[in-house]
This record gives sequence, C-alpha cells and structure tokens, in this order.
Amino acid sequence: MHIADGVISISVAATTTVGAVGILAYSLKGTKEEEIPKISLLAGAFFVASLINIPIGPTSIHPLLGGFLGLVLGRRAPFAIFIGLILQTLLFQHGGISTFGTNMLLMSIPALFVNYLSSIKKNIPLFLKGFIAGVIAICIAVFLLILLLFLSDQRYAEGTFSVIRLLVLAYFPLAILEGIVTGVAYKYLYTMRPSLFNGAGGTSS
Amino acid sequence: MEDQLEEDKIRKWALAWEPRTKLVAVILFIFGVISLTTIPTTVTAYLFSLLMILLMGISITLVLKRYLIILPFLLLMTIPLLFSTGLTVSNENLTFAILILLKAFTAMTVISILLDTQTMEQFMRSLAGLRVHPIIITVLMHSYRYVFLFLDDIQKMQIAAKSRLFKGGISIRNLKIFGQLIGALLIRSVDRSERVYKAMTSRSFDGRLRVRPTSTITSLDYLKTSFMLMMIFLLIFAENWVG
Repeated sequence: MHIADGVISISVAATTTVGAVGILAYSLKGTKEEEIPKISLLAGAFFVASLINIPIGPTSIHPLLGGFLGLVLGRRAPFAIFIGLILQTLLFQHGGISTFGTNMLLMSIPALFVNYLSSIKKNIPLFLKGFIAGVIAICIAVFLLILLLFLSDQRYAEGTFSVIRLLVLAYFPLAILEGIVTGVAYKYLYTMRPSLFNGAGGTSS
Repeated sequence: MEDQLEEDKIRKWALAWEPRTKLVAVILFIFGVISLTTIPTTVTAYLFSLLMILLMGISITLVLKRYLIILPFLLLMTIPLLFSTGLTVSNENLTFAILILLKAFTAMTVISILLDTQTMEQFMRSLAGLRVHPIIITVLMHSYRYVFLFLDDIQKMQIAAKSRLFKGGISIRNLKIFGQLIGALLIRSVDRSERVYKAMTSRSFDGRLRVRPTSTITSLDYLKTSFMLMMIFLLIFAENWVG
C-alpha cells in the first residue's frame, strides 16, 4: 500500500503532511542515544522484510508489517516508518512526495493503535496477539485510505465496482494473510528474544 | 539515488544545482502539480518536467521504468472510475482518471531530478542543511547502510529455503515459513544493533553522526529553483484566474 502522487487532493495531501509531522514529533520525543542503532536497524529490517514477495499464482503480495512494527517498536514505530518511507521513495524509487504524509499516517496510526491495545491487553497467546495486530493494522489502514480517498474526491466511491469497494475486496483476504504472517513472526521473535518486549532495552512504551 | 552518479551523462548544470534548493523546488513543484485541475495545464506541467529531465541528460528509459513501478496502483485507482456508471464511460470520470495518471507521471518525472542528479550523501547533507533533526539524519544514514546488508541476508534465506524445495504459496505451512523468515531477519538485526551500539559507544558516539557542511547557495541555484517554481505558479495562475 504505497499511495502514488496525484491520487489524493491537494487539501488532503497538505493536511496529512501536517498530521505526519505531528506524529513524527511525538515519536521522536525523548529518543535516547542508545535507541538509535536499534531503531535504525529495525527500520531497515522491517523495510526489507516488507519486500519479501509471497507468490500467489501469476502475481505476488508482500506483507506491510505495520502491526508488527507497533508491537516491536511501540512509540518509535512512526519514526521507523518515516525512515522506511524515505528509503522506499529514494532507494526503491516508488515516489510519493505529496503523499508522503498520507502513507506515513496510513501505517503509523495502526501501529500506535496496536501498541496501545497491546499495552492494555497483556494476557493473550503470542500467535493470537500477532494475528490480531496484523489484521487490525490492515483494517485500520484500509479504512483510513478509504476515508482519505472519499475526502479527496467522491467519485472514488461511485458505482458498483467503485475504487473503494475494490479496495475492501482486495485487502480483506490480505488482512488475514498478514495476520498469519505477523502472528508467526511475533511468536518466533518473542520466543527467541523476550527481552525485546519486556522493557529491557526495548523501545516499546 | 545511488552512492555514485553517472556523471558523464548528466549535464553539469544539473549536478551543480545545490541540493537544498533542488529539494525545495521539487517538493513545491509536485504539490503545485497535484493542485492542478484541468488537462491542458497538467499536460503543460508534464511536458515541462520531461523537458527538464531531457535537458539534464537523465535517461528517459529509466523514467519510464519508474512509471511501471507505480502503474499497478494507478490502474487500481483509475480503471474502476471509468466503469463506475456501467460500460459507458462518462467524460467527467475519464478526465479525472487522465488527470490522476498525468499528475502521477509528472511527479515521478520530477522526482527523477532528485534521484539522478545527486548522491545519497548529498541528499543527507541537504537535509542537515535544512535543519532536519540530527537524530533523523543519523537513523537514516544507519538504515541506508544496513538495508543492503539485510537485502543480502533475506536473499540468502530465500535461496536456503528454495534449496529445501520451498516453493512459496499461501498455505498455512508456507505462511508459517514466511513468518519465521521475517522473525529470523529481525533477530539478526537486533543482534547486529547490539554489536553496533557497543562499537559506536567505544568510539565516543553521542547520538549524532557528523556530516560535511553543505555547499553555499549561489545566485544561479536560486535562479534554477525560481524558474521551476515560477513555471508551476504560472500554471496555477492560468487555471484559476485566466481559464
């Protein structure tokens, strides 16, 4: 899910850019020197992990990992997403300058929400926790995307096969797949490195 | 954006354009383009961006390849618009779909100026020159360096999986393997981050990496930036007050 330039209106682009700056400032606040290598490396690793293609017939999909980022990096997730998006824009040449704020909010808000949920609901089996995080992150991102498209131009919602309906149809199965992958990866990571999640040097808040 | 540029192909005036003024010109130009609402002005902006990259000596094939990267998403956004009212395509929706494509391609063409006329290091220095928070620049520099290492890691992991007859797909077993690959990559990155932190603190790391100072902005740089911005302001003006 990488929104290209030209798809959303100037007013939505400007508003989301301002929102993204706010969320980045929140994420950056209080970053300690010892967190820098971890945030840098995890941002790079998440970015690369999201490039893993899962082949389905003639096409392939790739995980977004927004929910997983929320679980691992907590409050610092928007910062890592910001870095990942710069790399995506410049290194992998996906563009998206005017939609940079939109793309950042589409991943950051679900990541922060997942982090919040994880902090209030602690006694959930590991796989289930990762699965819920993956599914919820995609659902929130798609909901936000639909909202921003609708605010940009109502023609995106017109007709039986409207852009918005197609998005819901395309992303619902992807949310399930993302949930399974996130669930397995989270369980694996938690089992191998529990210290990453219980505050011992972790960045989760 | 590469570590090294193909300097023999890119014109000197494009390479000499100071990175800060270039970045500001590109960002404002793109925001200007997406504010356009008619086909004639958007086509003019597109032709102007094409002319710019041709004058700079940027490969058009490279730009076309970049269009292909964003094309699938653009088709998802535009094709349903054409058939939203049935098999007959309304003029209004056709215009809207063409505008989306034109704006996206114009933006990608203009981004090529950033990608092909400066190195990643120059870009980082321009961010520092624009007073972007030093932590952001430090993290960006680190991530940029490590992304290539991780790409190598993930490639090796995928080769290892393939050599064990793993073919991919979306069965539960296969998704479990994909999840474990991601988990393993993250564990490697956490281990590496601990080693990197120890190495950095032993070398007096204080939370920020030093970047070389940016070059001074000349009147020629202001002229190049102003020319680009004047072009987009003229188009916006033409659309709102003349047309």
